[in-house]
Amino acid sequence: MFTENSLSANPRPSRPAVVEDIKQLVADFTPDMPGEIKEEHALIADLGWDSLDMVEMSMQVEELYDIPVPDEMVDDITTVGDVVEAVLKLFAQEAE
Amino acid sequence: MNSRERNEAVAAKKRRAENRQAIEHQTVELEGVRYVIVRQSLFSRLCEKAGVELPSDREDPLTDGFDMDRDSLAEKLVSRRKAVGISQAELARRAGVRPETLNRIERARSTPDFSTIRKLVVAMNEAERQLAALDSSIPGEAGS
Repeated sequence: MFTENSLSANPRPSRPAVVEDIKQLVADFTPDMPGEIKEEHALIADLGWDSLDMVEMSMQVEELYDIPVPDEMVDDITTVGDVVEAVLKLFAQEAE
Repeated sequence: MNSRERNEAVAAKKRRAENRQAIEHQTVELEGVRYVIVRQSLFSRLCEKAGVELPSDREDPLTDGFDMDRDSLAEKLVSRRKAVGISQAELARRAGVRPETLNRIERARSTPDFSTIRKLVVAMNEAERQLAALDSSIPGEAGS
């Protein structure tokens, strides 16, 4: 499933670790996707997701990182890279 | 018509004229067809006055592009709800969503907002856990 990139040891994961986690998460949601998941892939337009997938993905992110994901943040997510940035932003906000 | 009736008629005409002036709107022409754009709240009031049932708050002709999403969402929700063995009314109750709202969502007549979908997912996950716990408590069903 997920790589669980040293989350318990490191409360603020590095960008590469988050990228790896999110790509794995997206891949789990997109079993029919041929080839590698890329940061520039649009979740709905390229990967065929619907709003239910978006909601479930945000819940998985919350579970994976033990961090709440506000609804408004999900509204702004278009690509895989946006998910990565959102996670990093949430960790940065937590650290403040 | 006496003077009182005349005054009332004039006042009514004046009120109608004022009402007309109060309607803020814009017009737009798309592919040769002119459309009038008014605030949604005004549109709602006009529908109410005309006795016309309004579509769902989230249902908007401008969101036609999301029809595919709506269909896909509806299909998945129905499928998952049936998989966990609860009725539409039960899911609505557990999720704290109006049954009519869930009915519209499941018939792909309405696009729910993020928080509504989340409530439904949380309720279905909970029902799924309860079903699994029930299965495992029945002799011979554990691990199946």
